[in-house]
Amino acid sequence: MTIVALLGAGAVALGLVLTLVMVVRRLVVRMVERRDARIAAQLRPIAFSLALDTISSPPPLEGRAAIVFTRILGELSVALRGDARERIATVARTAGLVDREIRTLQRSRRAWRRAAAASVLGRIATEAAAGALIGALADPSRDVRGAATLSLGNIRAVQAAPSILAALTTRAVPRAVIVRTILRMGAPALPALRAAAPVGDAQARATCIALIGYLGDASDGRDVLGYLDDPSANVRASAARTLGRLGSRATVGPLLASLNDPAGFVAGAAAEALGRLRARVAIPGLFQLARTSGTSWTSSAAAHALARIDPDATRRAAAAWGASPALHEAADLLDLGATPSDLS
Amino acid sequence: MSAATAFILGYFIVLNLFYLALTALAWREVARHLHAEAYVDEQDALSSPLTPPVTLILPAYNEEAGVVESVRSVLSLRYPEYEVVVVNDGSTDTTLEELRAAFDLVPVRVAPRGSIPCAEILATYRSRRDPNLVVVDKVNGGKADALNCGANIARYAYVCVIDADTILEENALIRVMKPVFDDPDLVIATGGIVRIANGCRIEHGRVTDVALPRGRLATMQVMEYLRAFLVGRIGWSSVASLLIISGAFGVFKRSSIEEVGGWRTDTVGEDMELVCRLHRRARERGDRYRIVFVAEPVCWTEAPETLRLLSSQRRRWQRGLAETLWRHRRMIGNPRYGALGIWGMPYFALFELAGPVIEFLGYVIVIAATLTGVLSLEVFALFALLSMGLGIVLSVAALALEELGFRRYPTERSMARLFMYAIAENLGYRQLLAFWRVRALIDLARGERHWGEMHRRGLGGIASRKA
Repeated sequence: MTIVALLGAGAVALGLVLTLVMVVRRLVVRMVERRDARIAAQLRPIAFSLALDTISSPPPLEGRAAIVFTRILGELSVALRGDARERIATVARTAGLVDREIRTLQRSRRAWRRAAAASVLGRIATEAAAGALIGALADPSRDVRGAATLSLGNIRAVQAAPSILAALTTRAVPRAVIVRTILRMGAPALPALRAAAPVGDAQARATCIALIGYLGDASDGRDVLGYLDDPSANVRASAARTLGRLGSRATVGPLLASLNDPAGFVAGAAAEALGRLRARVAIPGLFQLARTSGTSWTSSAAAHALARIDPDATRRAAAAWGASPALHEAADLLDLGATPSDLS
Repeated sequence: MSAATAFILGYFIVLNLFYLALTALAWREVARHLHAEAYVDEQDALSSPLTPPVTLILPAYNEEAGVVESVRSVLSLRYPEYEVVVVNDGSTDTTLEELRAAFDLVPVRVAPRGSIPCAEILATYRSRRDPNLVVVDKVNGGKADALNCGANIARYAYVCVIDADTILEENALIRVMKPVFDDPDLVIATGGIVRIANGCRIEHGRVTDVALPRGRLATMQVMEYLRAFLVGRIGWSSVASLLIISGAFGVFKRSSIEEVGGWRTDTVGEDMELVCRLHRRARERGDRYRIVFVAEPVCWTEAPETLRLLSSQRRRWQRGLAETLWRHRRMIGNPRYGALGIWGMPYFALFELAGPVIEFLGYVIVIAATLTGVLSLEVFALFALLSMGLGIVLSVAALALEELGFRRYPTERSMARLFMYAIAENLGYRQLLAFWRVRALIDLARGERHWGEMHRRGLGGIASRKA
């Protein structure tokens, strides 16, 4: 029975420790929150004055005050544009706050501290941190790599785009983080996207092509056309959608051919793109698909595309005997006053 | 020590080792989640054009009291693109009329995208005010059938299923979808935490003030839900063995649901059974996949406040568990199914299914042995203290996780009250649950298959559910 007594004593001890952890944590959190609020109330007017250029440098800060002040500058910087933002970055650099965060990013043993430092550096929007942030893309922690990636997007460090896009295949950084970063970098990231699109796995290729659709223009259509023949159906579907988004009418012919793609969702994506391009030449092919496709997903996409291109013809077709459910749906949506986005 | 008492002691030790391991895993995950919050910005996902659209499916059966409030709540979610499909599953009350009047529904034709078998669709409606709201009126076929119908109608590649009597927090959908944004190729299902709304203030389909229920029974369930979600689901999810995504709030890849044939209509545990089948199919095909639990997105639901209703709910859950484990028994202990086969399934079979029987027998044997003098009173007291002590530790650990990670109950008074309940639930409530779960197995052996009763006051009024 000794074992039972020992287990019982262990359980009681564990329970007491956990209870103590809870109580202490709540007390500590409350104390820290109050202290930070007090410090922030004192420092916030100084940060505003720096942004407005009414003072040129902050008072010397140490310890917790420096941490809170860096955080305030980061929050402020995110909300600012132009000169005021530049001033915040300059102040943070000259006051040594940037160096302090870079040191934390490079030396802290705790991953969450490195991730927080990477995040703050991006918020302050200082290019001086670009090198350290690019270095952090190789950090062993996925959280740190993710924070560094987002920060590189915030400071528009386009030179990091190739490394960031490579992470689409290695999964070193979550895909959503990469997408946000590249979108923040904007059109300057296009060369890196064009270079990354042919390499990597299917998901990486599909994502690069989709991003080209949001950042590129009609002139990118020619490059994207080649992906309509990609071995991966996901890549072909992404290419079809991107072509619709880029708006190049020169791509209508290949998109018409994609209506016969063996993968139903690729044909559906091509139909959607043709609808977006308002390609009247596609009407017969879309009617055919809306009436006869074995995949209801595809026939619905075709019917919606038709409704975008020629609403009256869609209503007439839906009223005809033997019309498909997809045409009925599209016609009813039109009668309800559906917008193009309702029909996408 | 007799063989029986040695077995019971050993069983308790192994069970509690499992619990402690799950708690440790959950602590690690919650800490990681907290640190990631420092740099993740939901606004980015909201503005990203690559955020995948989602279809929300709300099966509704006699939900006249709460359905309008629930639909309003989901129509005001923060998410870039989504549609809402309400499936009126042959309600005999005024559910459909309430929806018609509140959302200005007009009859339209909707083309089904999927072909999972389901009961006949009588009519489809779309809201004139919000064309992204579709209402399907169909012949009664039960919740699973209504979900299958909703999945067929769904226009988008991901479906989020929620009960028509629950309330989603404004950011719940964007948060539960986060694993999908990060890994769209791998993630086939995600689930969020369900919390108890009794006692909370609800205004215009939103929980505006979080508080504990006044009633003891509902407060006991708050503790129980914290333990189940914050320890059980987070822990199992972290070792790729999540077996339950609550039917009240879960997201699924539509193509994965179609591949496995949708929700089964011949079980009362259709949510668990579907997740089990998704695991099984993916493992048997050698697919790389993930089924993930996300602790932050919250769905609020109403907990039963009477013993009769709670008993009915728990017996149904236990029957569902038994049916699922029996149907997928070849996965139990089978290394072909990875960590789920080696650890998850045996745990559910030995401790969640057989546990109540052994616990109940344990009480009987130990009490009988004490009364007959086989076991001394001292040893009996030690057993009782050990059993309750470990129970309290696990509940307090769940409470500590809540405090560490989420702090949804802001007042010290609420936490102190929950702490008292963490102790009190081991003195009668836990034993009562074990008794009901044993009864569920007896019901099953007798061939009972019905859902039981679920009268609801409704989060916005009075409702009743019976199917």
